[in-house]
Amino acid sequence: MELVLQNFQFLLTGAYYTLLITIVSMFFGLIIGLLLALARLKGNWLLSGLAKGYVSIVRGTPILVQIFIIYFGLPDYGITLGPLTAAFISLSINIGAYLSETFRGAILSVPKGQTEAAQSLGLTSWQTMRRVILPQAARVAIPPMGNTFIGMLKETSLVSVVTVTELLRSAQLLIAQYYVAMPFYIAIAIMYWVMSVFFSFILNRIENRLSKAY
Amino acid sequence: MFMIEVKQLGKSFGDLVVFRDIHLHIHPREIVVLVGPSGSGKSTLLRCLNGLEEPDAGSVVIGDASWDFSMDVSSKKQAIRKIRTSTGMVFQSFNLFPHMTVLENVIMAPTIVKKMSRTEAVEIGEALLAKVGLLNKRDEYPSRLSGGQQQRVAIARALAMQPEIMLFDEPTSALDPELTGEVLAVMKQLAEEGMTMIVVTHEMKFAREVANRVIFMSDGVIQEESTPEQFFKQPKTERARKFLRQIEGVPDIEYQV
Ligand SMILES: Nc1ncnc2c1ncn2[C@@H]1O[C@H](COP(=O)(O)OP(=O)(O)OP(=O)(O)O)[C@@H](O)[C@H]1O
Ligand SMILES: [Mg+2]
Repeated sequence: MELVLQNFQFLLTGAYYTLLITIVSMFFGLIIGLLLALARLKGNWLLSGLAKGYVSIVRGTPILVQIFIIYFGLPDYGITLGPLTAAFISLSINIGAYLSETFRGAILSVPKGQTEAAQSLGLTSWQTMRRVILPQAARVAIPPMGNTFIGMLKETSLVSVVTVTELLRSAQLLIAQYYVAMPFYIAIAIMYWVMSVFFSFILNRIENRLSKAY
Repeated sequence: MFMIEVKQLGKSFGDLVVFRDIHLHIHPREIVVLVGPSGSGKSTLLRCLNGLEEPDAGSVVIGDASWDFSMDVSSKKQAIRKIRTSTGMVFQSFNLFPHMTVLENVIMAPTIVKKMSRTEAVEIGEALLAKVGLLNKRDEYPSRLSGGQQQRVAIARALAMQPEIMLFDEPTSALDPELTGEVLAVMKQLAEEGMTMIVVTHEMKFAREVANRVIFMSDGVIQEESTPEQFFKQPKTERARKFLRQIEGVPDIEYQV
């Protein structure tokens, strides 16, 4: 226990990286997810086919394999990425695929009459999407997005294998130094748990605020 | 000079021919009530006039915008855009935007489509809400309003684009009977102010009192059109007589054993 307290600063730095990776990949994943959803719903056959393929491949392969491809595979083609960059890229690609399905469902859940009303008022398809459909879809998408976010918070532990010193690897480094495992693992388990609970709480607040209008 | 001129209009969904060879001429300030049995294509016709459905034959001229089946894709798109700015549409299910307040619903299109300043749009929006008797609800969300109030907001929203023509597709059919009056009153007022209107409705009292012309559609064609007095007193076709008997709740002789 004392060891944990002595090295708390180090573990906090790990937690910081865990959070950073989660937030950055969530941010880019969101953009990728939205683009994929729009490509599938509004794109021509080629775009929607490509988007469908992307989602199928990413969802059908282990996230660890994706991380390895980005970090260990790409250097074969002369693209060498730092561990952190590789983590950002592989997780963004991964989240994007999952979120695109969430967004697609949410967009489809907005009644057709909304589009018709907007178009009869003269809005273009893009204006309709941006002013009418997406705001309503966001409300539907936020609860599952929150789950993806919290899921990702935990999945980031996978990038410890490419030597990103996030929370899990911080613990492993300490364990290697002190030859005791349990206190460190317990400590990071608690830290993961605290972060999850904290974000669940925030997400609940957001959901409540969004549902106010209805 | 006609406000709306429809020639040889046709529309099918796959194998189902909804209507074909529809001709329609509507003068400025005219109130036309469109009636007909369920599935006769009334909604589809209105939606074709607003570009929500694409006809597969014929031409539509509305004000100074014209759409023709033989035009290329981009001219068609442009024509539809132009037609939409001169027509307002009111739907059976209101279709208000649930994430916007009443006032935001009304001012959204003028600010986005017409690039009107917010101040000006709010001024117009508030005047329209006052006109439909709902200025006190300007900051409410649609879910807090009754059906009749929602439909009046929807009318104000369409009017905010300053259309020359208003299309109504069964505007009171989704309402409880005691709420239809307030919506019909607003429509009547609009008619008196000289708006050109096409109204699909089962409210025969409204048709009698407000319409200049009744068009009866059935089996994919316009069966007859005449003044309300004539249509209700002496319908020309057997189809129309049957329709009127049904709608007035008189048992239909043909179905009696
Ligand atoms: N999007 C669509 N796809 C396929 N068929 C359609 C579509 N829209 C309408 N139809 C069919 O076209 C026909 C005409 O429908 P429409 O809604 O115009 O009738 P209506 O006269 O408005 O009927 P109601 O009084 O019930 O509203 C119906 O047979 C309907 O099933
Ligand atoms: Mg209809």
